[in-house]
Amino acid sequence: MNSNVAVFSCWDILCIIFERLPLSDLARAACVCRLWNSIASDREIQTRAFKSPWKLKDVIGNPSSRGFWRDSCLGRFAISHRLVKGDTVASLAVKYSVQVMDIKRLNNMISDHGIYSRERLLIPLSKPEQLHNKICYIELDEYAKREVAVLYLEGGPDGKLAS
Amino acid sequence: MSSTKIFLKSSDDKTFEIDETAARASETLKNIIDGGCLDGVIPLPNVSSNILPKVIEYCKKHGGDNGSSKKIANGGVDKDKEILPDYDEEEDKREKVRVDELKKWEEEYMDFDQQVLYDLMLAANYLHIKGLLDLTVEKAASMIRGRTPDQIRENFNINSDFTPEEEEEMILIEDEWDDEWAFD
Repeated sequence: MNSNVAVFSCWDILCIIFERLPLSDLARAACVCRLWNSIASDREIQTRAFKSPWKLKDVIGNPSSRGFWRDSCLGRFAISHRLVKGDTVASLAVKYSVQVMDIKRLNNMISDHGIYSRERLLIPLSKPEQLHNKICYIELDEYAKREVAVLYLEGGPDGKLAS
Repeated sequence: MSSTKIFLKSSDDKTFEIDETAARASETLKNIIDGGCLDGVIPLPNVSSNILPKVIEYCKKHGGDNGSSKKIANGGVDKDKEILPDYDEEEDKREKVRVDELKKWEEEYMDFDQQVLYDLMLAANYLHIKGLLDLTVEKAASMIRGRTPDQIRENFNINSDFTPEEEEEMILIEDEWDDEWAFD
């Protein structure tokens, strides 16, 4: 009992244990007790677990939704495509090898019209390898209406939505 | 090869003997040895006599046996000579046997109850024995993976110290999570 208390109140050891847990287990561990909660909510441990399945280089930004760190399925990510003249949802679907429906759903588009009122569209990822060694930016997309880990294929997010 | 003996004293004043080469598996002991402040017996106030033999057993297996001496013996002089293919194969085979044997040893070594696991984790952390820490921590992690918070608490005998309000909040986060992904 004694060393049980010692181990599970030892910050160092808990950190090393938690570093080995995937996000879903980390989220459950956070509900065990206060100490576990504070360690499992540690930014470094969370981002490590978030990055590791996808071999991401880094995740930048702070999510406002506490649920963000709970899981990192591929649907968490999207590519930011800056719209230029001539782009259509269909052409983007071809360009990025994804389904038209998936682009529409991710961006909450009801029709094909009016994509030029937007500066960009989010493109779902088709292959996990697209994330290798990439940097993601956590953004609350105004159209998707949820927080997405956004990937910029050309340059950084400098030109990202001014809002 | 004969090696200098080191004496370790447990928290309950029992003395154990260990070869210096084995003791070097521990960063902490290595620093004490290299620091030259070795004064007969090294006191380990954080390690009891129940657990110290188990630690020593690990060090004996890994201390002098981290491959460095073997590599020098095999590849040191003959490095520039032509390497025969069957020689390589033999070496590969031996290496594989060694790894398999070590895995089996680790499996048997790690067969103990939870109490020992905690003590061993603490000792490995205190003595900076990386391999042992990895081994024990991995076992602890495997006892968390896929379990609910209740199961984890029961498993490790931890009491929840959240207030009812906080518990409530945690259920809310859970719901928020479910809602967000209801579309997918």
